[in-house]
Amino acid sequence: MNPQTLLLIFRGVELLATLGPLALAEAMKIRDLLQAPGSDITAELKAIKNGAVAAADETLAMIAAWRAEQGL
Amino acid sequence: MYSRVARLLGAAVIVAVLASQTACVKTPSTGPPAPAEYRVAQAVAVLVEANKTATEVAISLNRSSVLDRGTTAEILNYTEAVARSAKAVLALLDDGRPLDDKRADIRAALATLSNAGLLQKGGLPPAVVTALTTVQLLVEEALKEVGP
Repeated sequence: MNPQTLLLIFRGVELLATLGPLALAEAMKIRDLLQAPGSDITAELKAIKNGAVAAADETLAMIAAWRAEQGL
Repeated sequence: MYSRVARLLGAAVIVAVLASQTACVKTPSTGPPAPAEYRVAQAVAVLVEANKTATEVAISLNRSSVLDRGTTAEILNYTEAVARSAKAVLALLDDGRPLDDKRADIRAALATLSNAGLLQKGGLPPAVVTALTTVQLLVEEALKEVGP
C-alpha cells in the first residue's frame, strides 16, 4: 500500500473518530437533559443554537480564508 | 481500493448516526419527549459540526495536494451553502413564531442541500466521500426532525 493511500485511510479514520463520538455525545446530552429533573431546556436550547451559529461562522471564515489564499 | 475504503467508512458513519438516533429514541421513557424545536436545533447543530469537518478535510487534502483546486472549490461551494442554510434555519427557530408556522420555511432552507452531484463525481478521496455522505445524511435527519 502506498503512502498516499495510507494517508487517505488515516484521514478517513480520523474523521470517523471525530464524528462518531460527536453524534453520540449530542444524543447523550439530550438523554441527560430529559432525565434531569428541573433542567433548564430553554437555556440548553439557546446554548445549542449559539454553538451552531458559531460553528457555521467558523466554517464560512475557513472557506473565505482558503479562497483568499487561492486568489479566488 | 479507494471506493472499498469509502464504502467501509460510509457504513461506519451510518452506524454511528443510527446509533445516535437509537439513543435519542429509546431513552425518553423516564420523562417527556424533547420539544420539537429542541430536536430540530440539535439536528442542525450536529449537521453544522459535520459540515465544518467536511470543510476542514477538503482544505487539508487540497493543501497536501491530494485534492485539486477546482474540486476543492466545488466542495467548499457546497459546504458554504450548508453553513448559510443552517444559519437561516437557526434564525427561523429564533423568530418567535410557533414551529408549526415555519416548518415549510425550514424545509425550504434545507431541501436544496443535496450533494448527490458531488458524490457521483468519480475519483474523490475516501475521506471526502465519507464527509460529504455524512453531511447529506445529517441534512436528511434534520428534515425528518422538521417533519412534513
